[in-house]
Amino acid sequence: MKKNNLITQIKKNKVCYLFLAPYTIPFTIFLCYPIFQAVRYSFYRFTIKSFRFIGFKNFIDIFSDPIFRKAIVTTCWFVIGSVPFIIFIAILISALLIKVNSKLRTLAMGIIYLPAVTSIITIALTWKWLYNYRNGIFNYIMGLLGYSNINWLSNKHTALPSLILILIYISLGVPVILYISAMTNIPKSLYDAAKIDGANEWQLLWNITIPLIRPTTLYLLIIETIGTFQTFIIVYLMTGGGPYYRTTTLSYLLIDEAFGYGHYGVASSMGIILMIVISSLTIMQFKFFSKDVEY
Amino acid sequence: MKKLLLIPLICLLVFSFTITGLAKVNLVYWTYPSCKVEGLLPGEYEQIVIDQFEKEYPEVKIELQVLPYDGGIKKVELSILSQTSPDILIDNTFRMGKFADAGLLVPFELTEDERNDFFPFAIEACTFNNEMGLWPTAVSAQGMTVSKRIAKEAGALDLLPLDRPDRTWTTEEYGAFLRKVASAGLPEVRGYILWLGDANGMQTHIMLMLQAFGAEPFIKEDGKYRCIINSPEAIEGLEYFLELYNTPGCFMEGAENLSCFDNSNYFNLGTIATSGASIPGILKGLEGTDQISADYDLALFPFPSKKGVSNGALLSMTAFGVFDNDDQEKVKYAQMFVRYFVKNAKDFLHSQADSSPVMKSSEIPEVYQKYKDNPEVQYYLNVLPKFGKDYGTMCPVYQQYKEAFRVVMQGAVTGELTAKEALDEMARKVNKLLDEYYEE
Repeated sequence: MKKNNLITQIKKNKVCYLFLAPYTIPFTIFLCYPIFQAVRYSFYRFTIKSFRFIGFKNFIDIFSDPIFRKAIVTTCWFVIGSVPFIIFIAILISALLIKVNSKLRTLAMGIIYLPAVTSIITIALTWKWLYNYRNGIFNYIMGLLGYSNINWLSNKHTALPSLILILIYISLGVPVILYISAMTNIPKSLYDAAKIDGANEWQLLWNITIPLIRPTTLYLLIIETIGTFQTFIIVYLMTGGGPYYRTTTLSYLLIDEAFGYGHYGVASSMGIILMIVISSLTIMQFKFFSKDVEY
Repeated sequence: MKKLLLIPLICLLVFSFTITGLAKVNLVYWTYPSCKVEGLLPGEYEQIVIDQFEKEYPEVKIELQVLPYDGGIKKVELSILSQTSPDILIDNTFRMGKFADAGLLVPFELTEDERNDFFPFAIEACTFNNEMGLWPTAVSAQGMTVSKRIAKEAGALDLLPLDRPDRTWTTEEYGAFLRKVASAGLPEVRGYILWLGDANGMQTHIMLMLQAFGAEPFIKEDGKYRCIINSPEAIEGLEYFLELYNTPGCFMEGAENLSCFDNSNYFNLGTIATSGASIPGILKGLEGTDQISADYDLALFPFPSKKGVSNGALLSMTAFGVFDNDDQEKVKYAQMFVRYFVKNAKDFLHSQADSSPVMKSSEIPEVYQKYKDNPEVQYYLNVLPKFGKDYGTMCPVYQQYKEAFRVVMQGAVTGELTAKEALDEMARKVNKLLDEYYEE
């Protein structure tokens, strides 16, 4: 009976399904199927030489591996060290830009958005030179201040913060654009009313702007957290995970396990863990930060 | 109606039989941009040879793909996993060896003449499970390249064993040379680059720091490799070099983030006195082209070693492999193509400036003949290969062994691990990989 109902429903809405097909078919083939396969591989010993079912052994091995635990901590540092700063700096920049004339704002937005459309390889090479031990601008400034040169990317204390700084730099473009757009939509009457009540600029920002851009903040929080959890390319290009795992993120370790060591099953298990962690965090963020905003 | 249907069906059958009769054997050949023939782009020279082969064997069609150095091996491994591997692949033996050892390649059956024509070391390096799994094409020897100009400016020229037979030297002498260069105070000049930012060329450091002290990377028991790189000799060697690393001026700072490209760049800029990498553009150096200035004044040496241990050189070999793709016809033509290529593609070997032939009948590259009277070329061709040492390239987890060395050395130079801890970790990691490999 139920089956008949389903068929009737499909027949009834076949045009709708037809319109959905161009998205759902590639989605199923290129996203759902690989996820299903990754879940399957995570329970297999999968290398060039073998493919056999081993149950949860990959997961047990991963959690007993100190390098994996170190990678989780490093990834968390990446998220903690970058996402709040990206949001905070983006709000500040947007709040400043919203007040300047539109031509200057457009120019500033273009400049800030530039890293988002520039090749990551170009950005990495530029930053490598900025951090260069002999000729880098950071060490030049250190010299002017009377300090000796630092190997920014090799030093175990500075490598991670150096990468976080790059991550913040390349991630600012989109949030600034979105925040400016969100701030433009806030009714001016709210600010006028608050000003009549004697509110200063800081109070306007804190009590009106920030609460009213909460949906954008939630969206950015989720997107930036997911993106930062998947940080790979900047680590790959700048430090190769070093020095001695200090900048090894989960994504980097995953790729290294797959293509460096040929452990495709283990890498799949790591991918599944990463997926679970990101999904859980996203659900939590939705739960704690999503509140309807009414103007 | 039935008849009407029957006619196109018969036509279809006849057509398909005709197609099958004309069908070609389609081969896929993957190469790297290592063949640099003047005036041709990567792959163009190979395509010329392929065209000639296809003319002689019209039933064969070969599709050529040039893989990038960075990521090429990943593509190969993924193709094996997805059962879409190429039919023919050319690469270094230490990468190809893994595939041969795993039984993924079809062995070559050598004729008596072919067997006699190969230098014995080439056959030995390409034999897996008592069969010739790879077809070697060229070999290059890598030793220590020294800038005599920097040595002279640092007042350290007399510390080099230039007049000694075969230029053998000890790690003590090498250390004294580095210290002299460091203390000379030449602006921005360092003695040596240890690069740990990528695993390329790690064998150089392993040879210099560990094997120079008599350490063996592996032993083979019952046909199975075991990593023994945490031996007392290796620990002694690593401690010696860590001490040098921490002596200001001896090594370039920030090894953890330097790559083999940094080594080439700084060496070519003339700010590094010794380089243990491959001999980059040595012939170009002699010609005084853009890579290395003419006054750089290079000299070649074997890798130094502790007194009582023989000096070493790295022998790096390129070889063809034919994948077993369950098609005997393909295998037959793929192996025919390999033999054809080696016989007819003379410029291929000639284009590889730092390679020498592995077959007695092959010609010595023209570029060497041009400089045959130069003492460094003489040394490179005639003396350096004598120091060739087994550095474990045939071990099935050789690539991972190099990667493990890179990582633990980062721990050692940052002071997070002692030499013993670093090498213990390395041996543990590599042996775990070996256990997994043999378990399968």
